[in-house]
Amino acid sequence: MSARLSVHNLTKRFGGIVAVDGVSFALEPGEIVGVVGPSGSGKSTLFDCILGQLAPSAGEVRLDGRPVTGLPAREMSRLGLARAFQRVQVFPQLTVRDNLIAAGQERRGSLWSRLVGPPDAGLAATASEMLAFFRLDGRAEQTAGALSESQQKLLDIAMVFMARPRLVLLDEPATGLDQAVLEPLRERLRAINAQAGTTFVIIERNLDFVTSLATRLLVLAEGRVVALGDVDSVRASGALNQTAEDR
Amino acid sequence: MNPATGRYAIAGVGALVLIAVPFGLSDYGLYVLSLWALTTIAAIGLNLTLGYAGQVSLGQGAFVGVGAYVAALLTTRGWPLPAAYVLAFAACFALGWGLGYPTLRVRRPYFPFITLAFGTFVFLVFRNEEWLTGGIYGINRVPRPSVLGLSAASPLGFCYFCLLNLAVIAAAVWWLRRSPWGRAFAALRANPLRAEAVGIDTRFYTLIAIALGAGLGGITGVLYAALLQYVDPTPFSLTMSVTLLLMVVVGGSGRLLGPFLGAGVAVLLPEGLRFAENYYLFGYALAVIVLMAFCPTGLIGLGERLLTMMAKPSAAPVKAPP
Repeated sequence: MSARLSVHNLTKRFGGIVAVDGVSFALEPGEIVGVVGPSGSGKSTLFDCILGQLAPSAGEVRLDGRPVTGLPAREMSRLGLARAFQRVQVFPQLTVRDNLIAAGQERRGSLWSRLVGPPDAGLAATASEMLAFFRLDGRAEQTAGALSESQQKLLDIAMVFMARPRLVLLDEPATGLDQAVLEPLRERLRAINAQAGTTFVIIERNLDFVTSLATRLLVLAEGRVVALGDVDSVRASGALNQTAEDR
Repeated sequence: MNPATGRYAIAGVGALVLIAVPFGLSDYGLYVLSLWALTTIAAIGLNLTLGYAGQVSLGQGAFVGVGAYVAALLTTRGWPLPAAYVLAFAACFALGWGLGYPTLRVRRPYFPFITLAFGTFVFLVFRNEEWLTGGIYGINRVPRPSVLGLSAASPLGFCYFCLLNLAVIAAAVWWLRRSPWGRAFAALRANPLRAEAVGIDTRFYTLIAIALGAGLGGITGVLYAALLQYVDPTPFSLTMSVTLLLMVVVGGSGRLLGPFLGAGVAVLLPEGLRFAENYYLFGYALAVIVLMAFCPTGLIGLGERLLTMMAKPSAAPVKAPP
């Protein structure tokens, strides 16, 4: 069976600066891999290159064995890959429910059926389920822009799951969330991973959060992979020290 | 009353008023009301381009012109009006798509410049290609249509015909807005980065909004030709495009009722303010500047803001007892 995601020798240069330098790794279906590293180590650029939001300078990305390097983000979404950004990216003028439906509707039916079909694109039940799952059900009809920062963050993460993705890339999901929200979020991500077999790649500065979720860790420094392995062995290697100091 | 019921009630009352009002109007009043109805259709189209796709078009007047000339050329040669409708809509839809496609391949906002150039080109064709358009003399004796055997030749009949067109188009755009397509328009306007990440084809939706907007400009042209029963190049200059743009912005871009209000301000209000003569234009310009500075969401946004303030009056500061 081919890897859910394989990245081979991925490189991204901005003029003379090499933001991502020959990164290679592979993810098996159902894995949770944490990506850690100091600021400026190329974590978010790596995500941008994998997801087609930046064209890589070199290297290859494969999704379930299929080459997807440089495909536009919307194509990646249709192939079952979803992402939450480091900064909250919701649709502020839309209601919370509409944000969720918008995040899933393009994978439902044809273009024509989305014009003449039901306004909720058949996603009303999934949206309600997601609202309850992320404890946003009391806010469904509010505009997303009116939510608190941490509620927007939860909505941002909930939107990722509306299209039932096979692979989810989360960029610093714990940032901006207080401890009272972090624990339920951790449990929800675990539950989705266990129930749907969703594969996760999680960039995170909060080492406690990411190490409690991840099965493996990938440590980046100056765009290069300095460690890749299970959490205990990476911890033992001392590769996390630099990241911890940076925090 | 919940907000949705309130909106339906307003729409119902508005529709009843529009049905009743023409009976009490003179021929000139019917002409102005017809002009408002068809101008609103052009503004609804531009609202798709500007308010939904976020593209500033300076060519909506040119699309109206293309529609008017298509209708004049066809109907004066004996073609039925439905054929003029279809061809004017299709021609403007294709032109809108064709103008939008190359500009969306680059990130820079070239669409206003492309549409400005297109408007100038179309105006020159209307004026100079005499063999086709009649040049500055235009095309006379454009017939008015019959609908289901009923003639719309009289001012009253044609006014109702324009209002019927407006009702059908407004209903279609209302349907579009509440469909997943409408949600995609709103999403790409609010956050194109996230819209693309959730699989929304932002280029396709932007192009379809531009093309539909242009197509509605074409429909307006068909009605305009039949209203005046004459077309010449003069009305379809840049002034019409800028006026339509102002209508959308003043009414509230991206809002369903915005074009109705914007067209009302631009078409109906000057009739009520004739005593002010040219001072009306000064006032209009000043009002637009003030509106844009303090309420960029237009009259609809201003109305909503006032309603919110009335619903939740801010608590007056309580003085501490001495």
